[in-house]
Amino acid sequence: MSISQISAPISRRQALRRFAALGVGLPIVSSVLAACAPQAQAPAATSAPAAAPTTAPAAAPTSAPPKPAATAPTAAPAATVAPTAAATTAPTTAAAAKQYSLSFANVLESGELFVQLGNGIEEAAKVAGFKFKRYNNNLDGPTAINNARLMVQDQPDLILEYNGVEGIGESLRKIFDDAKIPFIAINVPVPGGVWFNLVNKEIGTDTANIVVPMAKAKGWTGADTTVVIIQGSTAGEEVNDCVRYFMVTTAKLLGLPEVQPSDITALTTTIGSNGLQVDGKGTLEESYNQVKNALQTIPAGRHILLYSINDDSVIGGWRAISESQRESNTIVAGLGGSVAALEELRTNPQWVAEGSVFATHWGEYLMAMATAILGGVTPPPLTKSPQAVLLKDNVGKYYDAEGKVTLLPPLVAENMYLKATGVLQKFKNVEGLS
Amino acid sequence: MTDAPVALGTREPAEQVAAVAAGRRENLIQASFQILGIGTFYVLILVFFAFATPNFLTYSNTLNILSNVTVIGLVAGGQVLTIISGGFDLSVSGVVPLGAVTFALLTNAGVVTVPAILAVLAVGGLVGLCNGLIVTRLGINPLITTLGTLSITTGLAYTLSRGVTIPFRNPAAGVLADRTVGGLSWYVLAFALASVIAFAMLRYTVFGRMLYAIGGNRDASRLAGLRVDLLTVLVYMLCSMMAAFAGVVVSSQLLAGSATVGADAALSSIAAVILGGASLTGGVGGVPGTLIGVLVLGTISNGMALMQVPAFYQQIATGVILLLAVGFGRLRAVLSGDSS
Repeated sequence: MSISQISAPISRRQALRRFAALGVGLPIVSSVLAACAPQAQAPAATSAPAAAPTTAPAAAPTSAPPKPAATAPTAAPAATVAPTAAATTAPTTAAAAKQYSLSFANVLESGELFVQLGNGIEEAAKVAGFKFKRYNNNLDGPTAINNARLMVQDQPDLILEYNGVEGIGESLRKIFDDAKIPFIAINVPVPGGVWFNLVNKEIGTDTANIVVPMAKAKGWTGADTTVVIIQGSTAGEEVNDCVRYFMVTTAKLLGLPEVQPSDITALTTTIGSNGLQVDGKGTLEESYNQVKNALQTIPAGRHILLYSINDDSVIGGWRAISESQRESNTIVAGLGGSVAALEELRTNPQWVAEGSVFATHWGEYLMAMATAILGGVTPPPLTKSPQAVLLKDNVGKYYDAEGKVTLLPPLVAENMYLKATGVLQKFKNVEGLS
Repeated sequence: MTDAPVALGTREPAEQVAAVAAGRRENLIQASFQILGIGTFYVLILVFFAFATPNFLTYSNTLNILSNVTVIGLVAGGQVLTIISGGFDLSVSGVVPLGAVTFALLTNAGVVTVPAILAVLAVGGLVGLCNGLIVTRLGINPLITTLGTLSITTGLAYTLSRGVTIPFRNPAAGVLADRTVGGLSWYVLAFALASVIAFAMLRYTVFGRMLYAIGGNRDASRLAGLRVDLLTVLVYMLCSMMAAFAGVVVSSQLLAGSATVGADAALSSIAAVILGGASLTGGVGGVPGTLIGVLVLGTISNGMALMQVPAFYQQIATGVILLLAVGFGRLRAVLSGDSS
């Protein structure tokens, strides 16, 4: 194109023609795009979520029976247990008579954990016979609010809300309450919703109860061991309870000076003389970078216990440790039950425990909860997710060699009411349920 | 660094040579001032952290810093070419994860490391080609163009990886990270080599001079007979290829490909390039300054981590230090009489 063509003004007729073309073209392009666009929003261009659901107390043989505790980051409702009376009603009949519709907003459609969670819920909805729509909150408050409005427009019978921004809970509650649609809050509590979650505090505690004796059996002591925990600061207090209570319990078991949970906040970086907290933001790369930096402050011969809020973070931290050739002096525990982490548990001698929340199968429990709620059952304040801390000798019981779940742990007091719905029995994979 | 105007064909040969030499001397002086400004600031940072934390000035931490800055350094090495030519490339934040995921998938499929790296570079080149053609042929602003391709490449990375982290099945694929020379990983050496090549290209080749000319005045360059569109396309291709290679490096570091890596590559690389003395309007900048800019960013991050500054405060401190660094450079420019 020559300079004279660039600078020549266009005539009125040419301008009108171009405007008309735009006016015709834009609606055509928009409708084509709308027809092609999938219902679920595109994966987010963001880093892996820090709001990872972390594991629950172990149902593994070595651990104590799970406590019915529910630690909520905003309010702390004590989990009153066993709504067994309510659970004796037969919601399945009512739910089965009509095909109910569900809408589900996932916290994020990227990162292994959340993709698998979302897919699992969608599959479970099909098996359970629900109509289903899926949305992506993209770990973003305004997006979650917008999705909530879109969901209520469809008037589903129940909403599954997985929102990663805890502070907008009231706004979400208002939208759902105004539309008079019951909802289940997944992992992160939303006021007014029935809460489905693991208990991060217990996961951290139980993991420490497994890891520290192993360290002591190797001759490690409080004098020569540093605990490195990788938080995800933006995930909120509840999610980070796992690393917080891991540190608290480890300090107790190793004979270190007492550490209170309140001593470990998002701004904490050193915990006494034996603890370090870095912020991996829940991602592989950031955790790798932060642990690499932190290793510069840990003397070479020192033993290390490594733990984090999700598998991506632990893997990133582990990679930093192995790159620094400090593997033999490190014990790692993972959290999330990802395929990569399960492989580490099976093959890596230093990776001794893996908390699993069986996120891929949360859908079954959520469908059972939905059936119960729509059938008139009043669930407890917290319905516990399936969870177990896996060890090398029991990982095969729950997962096959390819990392697929073969068995879910048995129901506990906080989710026993789901048995009466008959939904879990359709999946034929819950231990003790036929 | 800008070319001094030379009215060719109107002077005696000896005068022409003298004019060119004078122009080169002036460029060298200006470049030296730029590097001196940010370089002095970097020395101050080093001194500060050396006193603030005992673990800073150690050999292993020096290797650690070099290792930390390599990924952003590679991206910045490509970004500086684009910025000098008058554009910029935001799509690098998508090309890095796309490169990482592609490399992981290829090596897991049995492709040997070197061909896999070449394939990833080809993917990067393709993205750069698209960027360049859209900017030159369709006349769309680089901001919008590369914002669009950022979204596309990021989406592709997530699509290819299905949103999950892809661990290397063959640990040998992490050779860039696992092999070392004197403690330096191969990827650090590769970064050094790429920097030398970029420096030589900008400083000693006609191609480099043409980039400065385009960045200085695009229309005048076109009128002078430079193939501006072709050069622009080539620059975007080089930039994307560097970003793709950075993706290979980060996946080698992590022994996994993930679509979540490199999310801040665009802004960090642009910040490093601007810190190093380049101008967003083009025609100014160079590799040495960019390298120092990269080191400033990486050293600040490392130093604050060693001082165990909480992550939230680190973000605030980083922003303050960046403004100080740019202000320092600006002060130098004012004192030297450079009003641009």
